[in-house]
Formats: sequence, C-alpha cells, structure tokens
Amino acid sequence: MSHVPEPRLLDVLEGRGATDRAHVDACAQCRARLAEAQAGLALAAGAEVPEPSPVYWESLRRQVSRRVDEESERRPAFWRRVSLGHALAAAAVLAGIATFLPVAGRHPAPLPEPPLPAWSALPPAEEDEGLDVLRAVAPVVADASVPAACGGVAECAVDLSDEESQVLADRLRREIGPGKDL
Amino acid sequence: MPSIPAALAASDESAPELAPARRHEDDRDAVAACQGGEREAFDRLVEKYQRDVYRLCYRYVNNHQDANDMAQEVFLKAYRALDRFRGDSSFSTWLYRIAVNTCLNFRASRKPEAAELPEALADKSQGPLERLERDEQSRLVREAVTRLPEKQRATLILKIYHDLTHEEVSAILGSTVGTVKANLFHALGNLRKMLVAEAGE
Repeated sequence: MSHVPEPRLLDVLEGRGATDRAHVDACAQCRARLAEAQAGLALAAGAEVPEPSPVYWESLRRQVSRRVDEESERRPAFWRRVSLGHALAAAAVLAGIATFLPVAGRHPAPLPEPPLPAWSALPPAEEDEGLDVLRAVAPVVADASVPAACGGVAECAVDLSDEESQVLADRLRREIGPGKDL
Repeated sequence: MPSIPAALAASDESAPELAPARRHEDDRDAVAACQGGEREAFDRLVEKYQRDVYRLCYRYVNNHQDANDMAQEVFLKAYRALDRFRGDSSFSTWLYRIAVNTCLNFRASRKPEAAELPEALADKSQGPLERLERDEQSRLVREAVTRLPEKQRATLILKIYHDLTHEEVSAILGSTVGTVKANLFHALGNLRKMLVAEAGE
C-alpha cells in the first residue's frame, strides 16, 4: 500500500483531500504521521510572541523614521533613484562616447607631420659627382658660391640668387642642347 | 480535526483588518508615493507592517532587543530598495522576503538574551501559576522553532504565525507550493518530536 505524501497529508490536516482522508483512516502509519503533525500544530499555535507595550510600536516607528532620514541625508534624492545598474550603464555609455568621439568628429585634428629621417638620399659633398658637373658648366658659380657647408648640388642651387640661377640655366641649356628641358 | 488557525499572529486593535485586495491597492499607492519622493508615505507603510515584521524577527531570534534591531534593519533595507520595487509581487510579499533574508543573515554567533521584554503585557485573566506555565511552554516552543532546519522554520513561521497562504509563502521563499506544504508538514512533526524529547529529559 502506498502512503499519502506529506503535501497531501497537510491538505488533510487543513480539512481538504477527502480521498486521502479515507486512506488515512484506514492506514495506521499515515494516521500516526498525521497525528504527530496535528500535535505539533497545537503546540506551535500556543507559542505566542510576548506582546510589547503599545508605546513600543510608536518607538519603533520613530526609530525607523530617524534612520530613514539619516539615510536620506547621506544620499541625495537623485542618487537614491540611481541604482548601481543604472550607474554602471551610464559609466559605460560615457566611456563609449569618450572612446569614439575623436573618430566620429567632423573635423578631426590633423595628424602630426612624420619626422624627417636622419638619412638623406643626397650623397655628402665630397662624394657628390653633381658638384663636378656644376663646376664644369658654371665655373663662376661653382668656384665662388659653393659654400663649405653646402651638402650637394640641390642645396647649392637653392642658395643661388635669381640672377645666378638664370646664368646657370642658360649655360646648362647650351651644354645639354637646344630643345631639351632642364 | 482542527485546521490551521486562520490568524495566529496577534492582531492589533489599532490596525483595522482590511480586505486583501484593498490592502494591496493601498500599498501600491503608498509605494508609488514613496517612489515619487513622498517621504511620509514610507512612514505609513512602516506603521502598517511593523508588527508583522517585528514578530517575524522575534520568531527567529527569540528576544526583543535583536528583534527590534532586525525590524529596523528590514525597513531600512526596504527603503533603500524601494525604487527598484516594480510590483511584480505584493508589497507585503516583497517585504516578508526582505525580512526572512535579514533573519537568515543574522549572525548566529549572537546569543539570544534570556530576559523577556520587561513591559510585556501579562494576561490578567489567568492566575500567576497558569501564566508561568503558559509562558514557559511558549518559551520552549519558540526555542524549538529556532532550532528547526532553515526552510522548515521559515515555512512554519510564515504559515502558522503570519497566516499567509501556501502560495504567498512559496513566493517569499522561492519554493513550489508542494515544497512549502512538505516543509510545513515536516516542521510540525519535528517540532513535536523535539518538545517530547525535551520533556523526557
């Protein structure tokens, strides 16, 4: 014979479950279990909590009210409404804005000029064959105007005055030949 | 056969009984007012539920001082969390859940005080000897309740002393109704066994 499970025995104890009641009446084991729970209920029902003075309830209400007021003073109304989840979500949004704002801006700041390499494509003056050509075609310029600090043909040409540049250009044209670009 | 008493928690004369639907409606209004910043609305909720919360706490700690401290803590926690209360359950269920969790978290190392509340009201209709016997019996039962396994104790306290439905208890404890019924049945049987064993010592 299967016995009545506890939840249904409790229904019997509460006055429900007519079918199970019939089983309990016929089953000594279920009857004993039910009787024990009934006795426990009778004992539990008699155990009252000592009733405090009526004054106590007012005291408790005031104590709670005072602590709530202290809590309110510590936390401004705005922050009481902001849960930790809200605060974290707001922080995440701000972090996202801070991360993407420079990229998404309409006028991004210009990138800095890359530093010039220390290495130069021009050879040093003593190895610059171009200077020899220059001296050959423009002895005046080459003899008089190539400064000691001149690093090569290009730098020397940059230092020429307009008149010297014009003289150099005329001589180069004659050397290279008519119709050729410099 | 006696059925489970309808309202074993002593009702207070100053707190008139309300129909559950009306009570929940009033609670919703008060909660909405609190969430809207009306500080006094929370005082009204405290006044309404302080007896239930205090008695629940008392059942766990079995002394007035700790029950008083814990009841305050329960309301403070409720106040802090009130903005997150969305009304998925009734306010009373939500508050009971906070109270039970607060009780469960109470430091077990704190020993209950032996002395009862000095100003506890005595029942003058009984003689001194009868009162002593009844008080002693109550004390023994309350102490036995505190020694029940956690779920059984919570179920018994909420169902027997706070007259909640099985569904309400299951919502508070996060259990199924079947589990609540089984726990209550076991709690009653265990309570009886503990008290019989103590009486035999």
